[in-house]
This record gives sequence, C-alpha cells and structure tokens, in this order.
Amino acid sequence: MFDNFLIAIPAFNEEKNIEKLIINLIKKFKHIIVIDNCSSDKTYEIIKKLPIIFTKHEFNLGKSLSMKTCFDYAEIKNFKYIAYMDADGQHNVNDLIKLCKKIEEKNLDAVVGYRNNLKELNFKKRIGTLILEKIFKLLYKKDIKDIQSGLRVLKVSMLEKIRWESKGITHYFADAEITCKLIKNNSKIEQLPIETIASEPYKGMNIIQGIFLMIKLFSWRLTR
Amino acid sequence: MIIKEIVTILIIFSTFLMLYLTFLNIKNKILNFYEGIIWLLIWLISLFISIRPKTIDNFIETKLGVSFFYISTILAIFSLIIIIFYFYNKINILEKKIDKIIRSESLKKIFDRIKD
Repeated sequence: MFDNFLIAIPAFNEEKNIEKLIINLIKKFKHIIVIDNCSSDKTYEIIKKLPIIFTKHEFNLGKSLSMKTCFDYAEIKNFKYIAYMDADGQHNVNDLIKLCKKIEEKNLDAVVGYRNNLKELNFKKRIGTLILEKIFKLLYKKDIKDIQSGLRVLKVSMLEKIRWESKGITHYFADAEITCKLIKNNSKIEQLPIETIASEPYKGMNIIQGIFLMIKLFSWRLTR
Repeated sequence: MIIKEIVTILIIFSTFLMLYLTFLNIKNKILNFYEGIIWLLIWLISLFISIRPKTIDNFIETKLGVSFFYISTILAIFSLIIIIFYFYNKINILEKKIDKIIRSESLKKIFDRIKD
C-alpha cells in the first residue's frame, strides 16, 4: 500500500518524538525518508537504527532545504507523490493516510491538511493564522485554510512549478511558499481537516516573522 | 554642536569596536597578519578623516568650488554601496554552492549505503 508515496520528514533536534512517529509510520508506509538537519541531540543516532531511508546535512540548512533534499530523492527514485510531515509528532498518521488516499483517488496535484482545532491554540497563534488566511484570500482569491500546514501531499511532477526559494532566516516559510505557488499555478488542490497534537511548547513564528511572512505573501504574488 | 560631538563619539566608539573585531579576526586566523594590518590602518585613517574632515582640504585644494571632503564623501558612499552589492551577491552565490554541496553529499550518503 502507498508504494508510490515517499513520506518525507525533515528533523532537527527531535530525539524525544522522532522514534514514536517513525514506528507509527512504518506500520502503514513503505518508503520513509528522514533528513536530520545537523541536530545537536541524538536524533541521528535514533533514526540510524530504524528501517527507513535516512541522511544528515552536515550543517543546518533549515527546514526548507531539508524539504528540497527529500524532493530531490523522490525525483531521483521516481516516486509519484511526496508527503511532508513535521518531525515533532504533532501530526496524526491517520490524517496522513486520509491525505494520501485523497490525492490518489481524485488525481490531485496537492492535498494540504488544515488544523481544525484552531480554538485550542493560544491567542497569538490563532490570530496570526487567521490574519494570514485573510491576507492570502485577498491576494490569491482562494480560500485556503492554514497556509503553513506542515502536513501535505504533493505530486512530484509539480516540482518545476513550485520550486521554493525560502531559506536562511525565512526557512520556515517554505510551506506557505509552496501553497502560494500551487495556487498561482492553478494546481488541483484540496484540503482536509487534520488534528494536531501539541507535544511540547509552541516553537513556531514570532510576530516579526509573521509580519515578514505577510510581506513575502505579497512578493510571491508579484513574482513567478 | 551637540550633534557633531555625538557623531564624533559614535565614530570613535565604532572605530574601537572595529579595531577590536579586526584584532580578534587576526587572532582567530580569519585574517592573516598583513591583511589585519591593512584593515587596522583603514580604521585608523577613517577615524582621523571622520574626526578632522577639514584637514584633508588643507592638503588638497579643488578648483570646483566645493571642498575635497564633500566630493570624497559622496564618492565614498557610492563606492560603499557598490562594494556592499558586490559582496551581497558573492555571499549569495557562495551560500547556494555550499547548500548544493551539503544537500548532494547527504543524498550521496543514501545511495552509497544502498550500494553497500
């Protein structure tokens, strides 16, 4: 089952969560790749022992370029689909299965998960997500929820159209950039609600990064 | 007058900071000895010109009706922007090359392991 799918997990300092996540994934998926982004903890030692494809970036290149390395592997190995999942265990494997089934059944270009439990998030994160959604709708004329969702499945053949540039200080914007480029290219995209399990304190963006992301939404709209 | 004094203090403070950073770079072997000396001299000359800009006019007179310091300031600002642009691009190119090397090395490791 899911032979055409590569499950890609960029990981950085996730020694607490990665093993449990992989063990859950192995039961359902055959091809899993974990890119350790030069973690300073035991993430790499843990993934080495698991029956998955794994490698390590010798320097921390950020989430965005780890995602690209996964995509390169998927392209070389001729996978039809690539599914991205966060390494902190916040995503449910059953949700990933739902996304994979959906993209295959409907022959879509991408399926993006959206958190349906936004009300459980802290005020700052909830407001930030809602503002981003509104700005996105205004700019791209499409109602997409949770544009930065880390759980998503993409068709590998879409790479040329969605080649993302975020890196360095903007490496966390890769998910949002992919969403923007998918919409700009009129891709066949659908969304499914997903659960998020808060395993540890929120590590996401601060207000400055949020403002910067809004600026980037404008620039992606204007550029290719 | 107060503004002039504040600017002077800022320049002196910045110069000493840059001298210290240059010294650290020499110590950590990022700059070699001669490069370090050249940078130290550049900071000291910049300090002197910034604190006593009119001294240059005593050495060089222009017949253009404007002071040499005015012309050199404009030229210096423009040169600095060109240099910043050059290094910005240079760093970007280097960064892309390093990213590519690290990513292809990490993929190579996977394929080497598959071969073994």
